[in-house]
Amino acid sequence: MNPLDNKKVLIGIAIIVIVLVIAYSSLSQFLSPYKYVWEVKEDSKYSSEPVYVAGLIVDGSFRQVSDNPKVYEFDLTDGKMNMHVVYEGDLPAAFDPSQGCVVYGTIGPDGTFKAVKLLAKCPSKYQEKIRERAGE
Amino acid sequence: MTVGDIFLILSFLLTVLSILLIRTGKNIRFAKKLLVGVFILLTIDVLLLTYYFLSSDFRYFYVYSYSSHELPLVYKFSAVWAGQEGTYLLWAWIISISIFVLRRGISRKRYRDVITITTVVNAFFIFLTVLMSPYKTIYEIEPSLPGTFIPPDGRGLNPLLQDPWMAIHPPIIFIGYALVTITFAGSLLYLWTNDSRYEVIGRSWAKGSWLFLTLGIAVGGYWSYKVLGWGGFWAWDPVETSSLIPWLTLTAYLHGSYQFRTKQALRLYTPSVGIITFILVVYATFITRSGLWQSVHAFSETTTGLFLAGFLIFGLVMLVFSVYYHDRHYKMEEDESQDHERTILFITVVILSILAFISFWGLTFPLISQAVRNQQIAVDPEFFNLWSYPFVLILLGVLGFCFAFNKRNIKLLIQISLIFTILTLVLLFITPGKDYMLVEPDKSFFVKSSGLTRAFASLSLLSLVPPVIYALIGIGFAIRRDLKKLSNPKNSLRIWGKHIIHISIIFILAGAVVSTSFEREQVVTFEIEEQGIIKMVDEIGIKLYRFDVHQDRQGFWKQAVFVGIYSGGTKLSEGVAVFRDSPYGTVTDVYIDRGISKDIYVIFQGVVQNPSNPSEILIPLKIKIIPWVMPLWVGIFLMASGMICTLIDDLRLKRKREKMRRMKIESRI
Repeated sequence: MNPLDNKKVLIGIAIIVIVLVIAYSSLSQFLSPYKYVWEVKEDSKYSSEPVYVAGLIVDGSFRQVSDNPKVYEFDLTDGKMNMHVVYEGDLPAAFDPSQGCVVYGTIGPDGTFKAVKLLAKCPSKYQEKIRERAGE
Repeated sequence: MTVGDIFLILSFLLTVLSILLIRTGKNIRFAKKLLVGVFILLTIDVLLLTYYFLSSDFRYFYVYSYSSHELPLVYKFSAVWAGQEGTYLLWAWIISISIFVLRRGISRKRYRDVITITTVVNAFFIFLTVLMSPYKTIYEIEPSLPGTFIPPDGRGLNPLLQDPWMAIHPPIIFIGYALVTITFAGSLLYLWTNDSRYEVIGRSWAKGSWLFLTLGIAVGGYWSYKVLGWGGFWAWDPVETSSLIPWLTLTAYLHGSYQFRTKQALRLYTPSVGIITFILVVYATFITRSGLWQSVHAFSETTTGLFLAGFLIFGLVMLVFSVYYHDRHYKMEEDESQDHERTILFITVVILSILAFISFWGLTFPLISQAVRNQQIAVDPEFFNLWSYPFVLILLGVLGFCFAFNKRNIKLLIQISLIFTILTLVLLFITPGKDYMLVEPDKSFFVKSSGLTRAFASLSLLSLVPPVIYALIGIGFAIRRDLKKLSNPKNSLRIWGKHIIHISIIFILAGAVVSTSFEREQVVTFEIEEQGIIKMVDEIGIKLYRFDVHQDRQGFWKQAVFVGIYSGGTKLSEGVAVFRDSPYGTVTDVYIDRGISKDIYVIFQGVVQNPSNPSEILIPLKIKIIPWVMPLWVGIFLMASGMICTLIDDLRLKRKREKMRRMKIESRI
């Protein structure tokens, strides 16, 4: 290696290290935890800090409560605890209330989860369920 | 064990045998025939699977899972790669095609070496396909089923996948992924032998790979844009991000390889990045298949994740070993001259690598956190946007500088660059409205973040304007300079290709930033009798033509709203927004009026009762006005066309070289 390249490699490494340090130290600001329903219900910090909660929608609990804007409510369960969820926004392009879903938002003092995002699972995720059905 | 499985296992054995033959050098001709055999066997396998789909043979579990009698013919074709079993097969098949092409050079040692490594990789993917065989019958999966039982119908293909774009998206991406294998082989061999002719083989395939990756990512984005709730064309979902990272490193590789051949520089970095690209491709597959990531895309967890992880480690070990080996055994003979162009390109490669690293870091951190702290987390999309932003600005600046640069104008150029830099820095702090902020203040991310991050997030998007103009001026200079050269039409394709690709970057960036930041939405509600009435959303008129409800043959309800889009009294377009039931739950098919400066996006999610008068039925429509989406698609089109120009020129040059070689040989005789 010639001296010029040595210098360049050093500069390159220095830049990468700096970026690494900054990225690592600042990443904490950009994280949203994934939690179970019971964890969210038992920790008061999720009343201000948004969190992802994955679960199943309790059968028959899904309904639309308002048209304009569109508001839906349902109970989300992790098998251990249930949580009442109010979601304002559009339903995902393909949405099946009998499937699992992921909500993103905060929990209110009354225990109602206010969701700003509702994610359905990707088409390929259905593979699993089809397997279960086929096994029946 | 079915016919398809037997062919798969046969093709696996043939790859192993051909590798042995090539390495011992005993019977190269026969090895060549074996490689053709692998290609034919895999082709038969793909055709066989396609045939099972077309004939709706639901005795095969894979067909049962992804097809049904009702499925339109074209989607019976695309269902072949709807699940992971089919995609592994597709991947192996594409690699075997590239080996089929490479085999013509097998008499030359270099080609034999490249073919060996590519065939090893192919053997791995055939092995994965054997593990996750798409030819398993339902009787193998459920032994209790009587052998006479044939399912009356399949499970059907998810309605979201029944889309022409989704039909072509996976094969395009997989062609891109598969071709990286040859770049990987070329880079490894260069490091082992210090023979840059290996690098030439790797490089010549990298451009094709880059083209397909670009198109694949773009088609995925185009499709995702139409699908409600997927966050538009780009949402930094792990699966999306994982395909962007190899694209970025491959771009770095192409810039590096330019240095490699013209300036004898970056001779260690370029092949390393070629190898890293391949590792990242395997990593991308690992992400989609391992089930370790919290993604809306995530596929169910399978055993192949373990093998992919093993292969990943193998790739990394190869990388470290090869770089070490090269460093130990070969003296670097690099051009030591101080050269501005060289420095600029070096910076470009570094910035591209940093961008790749940011995405990689945001993608990988959740996995680390899960392993170390046993905590499941998601990285907010703002992480990627915010951290990439400054580097994108620098990249645009470097682009403009590099294109405008020549030895005579350097002083003037530096002065102009300084002005643009100051302008950019000033504009970072000028925010005319909350839309102009990097992150809108009402986003939940903004609310939860601390002071410093919030200050970063409130910087202004106006700062994108000077670098964009600067880059355009730079390219303009370069075109003017090249116009003189263009009198010689021989070089024109290559030069135009280069300019078109770099202009397209600006289109894509501008389109992506403006469309995501300046989107507006509003709800208009029609009463069911209000047919023929136009309601205004800002300057856009929405006219309700009619509303339609009907039930299909399978008993699923479908509600359709026919709307017209008006602007200033003239009709722009008309179409239908649909809300329907399916075996997979409700499906929303949006209507999009695609305009040059803005898209009108109409969302309909079913009629509702008027709360104050329950006998009245209302049709609520959500209207999104999204500016500058067209420049984004135009940019992608330009990007692909530019690369096609370059590839055509490459092929022409190659043919010319071959012809000269043949003539030389003939003249010797």
